[in-house]
Amino acid sequence: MMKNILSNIKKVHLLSKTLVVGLLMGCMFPVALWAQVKEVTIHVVYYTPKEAKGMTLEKLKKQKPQNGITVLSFDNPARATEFHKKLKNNEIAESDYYNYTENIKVTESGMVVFTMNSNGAVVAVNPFNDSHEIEYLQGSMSCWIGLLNDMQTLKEVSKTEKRKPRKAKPVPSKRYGNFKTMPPHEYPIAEDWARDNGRFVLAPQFIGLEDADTLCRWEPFVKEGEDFQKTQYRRMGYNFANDTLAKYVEPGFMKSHEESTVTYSWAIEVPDGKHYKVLADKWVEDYNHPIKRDTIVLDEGLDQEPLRFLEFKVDGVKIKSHRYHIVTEAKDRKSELNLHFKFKVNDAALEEGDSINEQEKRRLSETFGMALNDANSTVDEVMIVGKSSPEGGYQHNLDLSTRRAAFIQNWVRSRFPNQFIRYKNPAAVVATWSEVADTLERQMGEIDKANDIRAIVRSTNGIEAQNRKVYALPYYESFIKPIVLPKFRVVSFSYTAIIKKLLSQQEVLYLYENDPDYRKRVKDPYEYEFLFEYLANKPKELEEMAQQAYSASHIREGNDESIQRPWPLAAYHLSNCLLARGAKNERILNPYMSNQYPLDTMSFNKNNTRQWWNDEAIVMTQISNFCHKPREDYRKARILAYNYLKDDPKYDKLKSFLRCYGEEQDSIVREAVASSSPFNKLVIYAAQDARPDLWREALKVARDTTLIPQKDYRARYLEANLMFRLFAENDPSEVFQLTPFFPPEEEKKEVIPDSIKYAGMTEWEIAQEKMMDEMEAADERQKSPEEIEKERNKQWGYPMMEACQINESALGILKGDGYFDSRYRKAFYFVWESTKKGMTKEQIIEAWRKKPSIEKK
Amino acid sequence: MKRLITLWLFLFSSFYVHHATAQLLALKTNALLDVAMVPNLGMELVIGEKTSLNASVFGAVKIYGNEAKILGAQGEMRYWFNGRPLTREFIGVAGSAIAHNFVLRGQRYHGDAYVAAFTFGYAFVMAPHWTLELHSGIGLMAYHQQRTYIGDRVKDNNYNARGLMLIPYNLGVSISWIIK
Repeated sequence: MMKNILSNIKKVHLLSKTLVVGLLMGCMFPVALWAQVKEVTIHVVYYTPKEAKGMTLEKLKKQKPQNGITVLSFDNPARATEFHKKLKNNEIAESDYYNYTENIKVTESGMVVFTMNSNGAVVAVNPFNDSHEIEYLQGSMSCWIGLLNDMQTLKEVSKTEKRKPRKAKPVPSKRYGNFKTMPPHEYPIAEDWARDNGRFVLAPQFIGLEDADTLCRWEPFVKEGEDFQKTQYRRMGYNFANDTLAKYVEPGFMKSHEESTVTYSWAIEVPDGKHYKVLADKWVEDYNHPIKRDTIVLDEGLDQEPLRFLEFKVDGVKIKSHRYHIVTEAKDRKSELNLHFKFKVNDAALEEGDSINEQEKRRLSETFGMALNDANSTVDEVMIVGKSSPEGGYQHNLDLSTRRAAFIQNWVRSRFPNQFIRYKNPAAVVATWSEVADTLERQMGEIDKANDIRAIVRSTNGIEAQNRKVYALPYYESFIKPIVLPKFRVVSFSYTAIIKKLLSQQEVLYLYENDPDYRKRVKDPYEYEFLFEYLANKPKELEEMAQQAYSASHIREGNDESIQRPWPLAAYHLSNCLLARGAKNERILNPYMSNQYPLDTMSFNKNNTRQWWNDEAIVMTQISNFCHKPREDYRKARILAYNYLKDDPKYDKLKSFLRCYGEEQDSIVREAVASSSPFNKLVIYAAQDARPDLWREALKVARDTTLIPQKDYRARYLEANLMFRLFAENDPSEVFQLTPFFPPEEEKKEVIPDSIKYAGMTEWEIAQEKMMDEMEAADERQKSPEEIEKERNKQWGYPMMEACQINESALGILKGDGYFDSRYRKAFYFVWESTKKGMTKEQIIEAWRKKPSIEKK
Repeated sequence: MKRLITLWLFLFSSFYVHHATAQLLALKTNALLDVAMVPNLGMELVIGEKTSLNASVFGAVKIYGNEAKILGAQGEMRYWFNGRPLTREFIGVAGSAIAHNFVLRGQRYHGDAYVAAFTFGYAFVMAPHWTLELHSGIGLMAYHQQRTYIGDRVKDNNYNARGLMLIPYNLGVSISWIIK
């Protein structure tokens, strides 16, 4: 019994023990599991394969931490093992990591912290080289993972690349008028040329591109090493004044084995718009001797002329003549008049209806009448000479001459009956055959006939005998009698009058128009003054008068001052006339401007005569002279405008234009010029060499047909220039392809006949299809402006073709334009010439392709 | 000795007077000798594109507490390789005359010495008027002197030591100031 009880008790106990243990186990597991979830710190370091040998945890802890490593934590180590195995076999992608665990972190400062099962495992993956490592935590709170970093097997290599020496390329000069300028530009001094104890010299000279003549040598550009400069005066007998290069030395020093630079620039006046290339001798010398020497090209001679097409005209200012009025006192003036009346044959009566006689009568009435009636004039003497031709009897002819003279005298008396006129006794003469011979030769060019008559006069004595022989000449009746002899049937009327007064404007005008002698005669200044006004629209005659007055003013005054400073009014008109016909002479107006006097002011000279200085009309004319092509000198014009013109808003535009012709193209000047006209906006924006944004703006203006006509070759030329600079200049291709020089091609669509295209379709389907086609075509037609512009920009050479087609002078401009390089010019000329020969685009491109590449560059 | 100095000064001054109008003249001192308590002063006169004449005098009374009376003069002709005097490398020939009377290790050395030497050096251009020279040389010294123990009584002109010896010469660091 007791055994049974005991055994039962044992069973119970065993059961209870099992239960208790089971209960305990069941309760303890989550607790145990909770107890294993901890914050675990994972450190990731790297080591190289070399360091991998004998790697221990202690060593690992000393390795460098690795950032950017992806670490995945797994509470279940088996899952981690499976994951790692797949990684090894490249069966898993980075995007699939979240299928295995959600606990993924990236190391910062070489570590991450996970709250995880401390009996779990972590896997570290280096995303940069796909190396990976698994680590089982086994209850530890921290873990060190070492990733093999193959990259670390490479030693740190520092490679210092030697900078390529800068190669000095020729740079085109700028051209403003007749000035060739080079803005400050750096010339590289190569390392093997630079030295501390050396002096580098760059000595340019200008050589004609066409004729190879040397224009001049420019001042040298010099750079010295520090030692050279410091020890310069230690030389035996050194004298700074004798060192011709010392004054050109640039600040700063060059150093041995270091690339250096020397800055060069120039502004040189070139005659007649010729092109000049700039060669330079360069050498480096040490303390005593030149070490290296070379000759280089600084400028190939094709200049950039950015403002070539700028529309600019200097508006002249009319001179105020009264400033230069010279007061002339009335003085005795001798007036003379010579008239010739023609008479009938063998009669003392005038030829009726003869136009010359009528004209002479009118002149006599007007001028002689004026002289008689004017209170300030006294007719001094009247002389009347009658003349007759030699044919017939001498006595008869003499009587006839006397009667003719009396006829004119009576006629004058009848015209001016109340006047007291002192007549000299009328004279009468008979012409001789010798005079007839002279008239034949001099006036009619009949030398043979004149010689015949002279022979008769020499060989024959007596007038009657001479008459007979002359009558016998075969051409007497036909030529001498009707044509020559009437010239001798005249009466000459002449008078002299003493006039004490100035000529009126009408008199001056009358004399100028009717008296050829008057034009040649030196006149009084007031007469010139009136004539300058009168001849304003007759430039040739005005120039003649101005020249006469200008030359006469030297003679009239006769002192030194007038030689230096002739009559300013004459000088002004003369300069304007010369300017108008393109024969400008800047020296004429120089004496009237001086910085010793205020602007537009009057002063008195030693003779107490007033003089005007810096007259704005004269200054403006002089500015026009300087701005007139060829040989424009905008620099001098600018100096005049700024120093000799008043600070008046009306000159602002002029000053802006003149400033922009230099290198002073600031925003104020630029916008002032741009606002003058759309074309000027195009020009001035295109001229801003350092502003590609403004080039694009200029390009828009050039293409805007509402602003600039499409057929303006200058606009097309500038468009070509801008497109070359924007889209082609940096073209990496070895030589230009020719396609940009042709117009853009329209896309050719294959035309499928309707019978094929719509075969087998119902009417409704055909209608649908056609509608779709039309919509597609409309879409194609409606290209955005950007797309159109992009396509246009590809054809960067075509505007030049257009410019040359509109005006072939663009070809000449292109030839000397430094904005384009030689390969552009060659390619363009090739296309141009080939197109003129009638070749097609394909033929031209094929021919170009066959050309040797050396010829294309 | 006095005659030697007088002769040297005469020669130098005659050179100077002859060339003074066009040549550079530099005042200089050897810093190494100055530190060794041997004050010295020199002049260098440029006499050609590559040549200069250098002369200096030096003397001492005591050197760091030891009795050492020294008076000497030196003349040197220099050849400047790069063609610009007082700049960079040079070689030269030099001569010195020295009168001495000093005590060393219980012995007194009293007498004269004459040196003929070959010199070389390098001049750094510090500034347009300042130059730093490192120079050295080797010389053959002829001497005759009294070598006696301190307390010995000997006649002044009783030289008991004569000889020739090679010595380093003109060691120093000089600083020059170019007057003109």
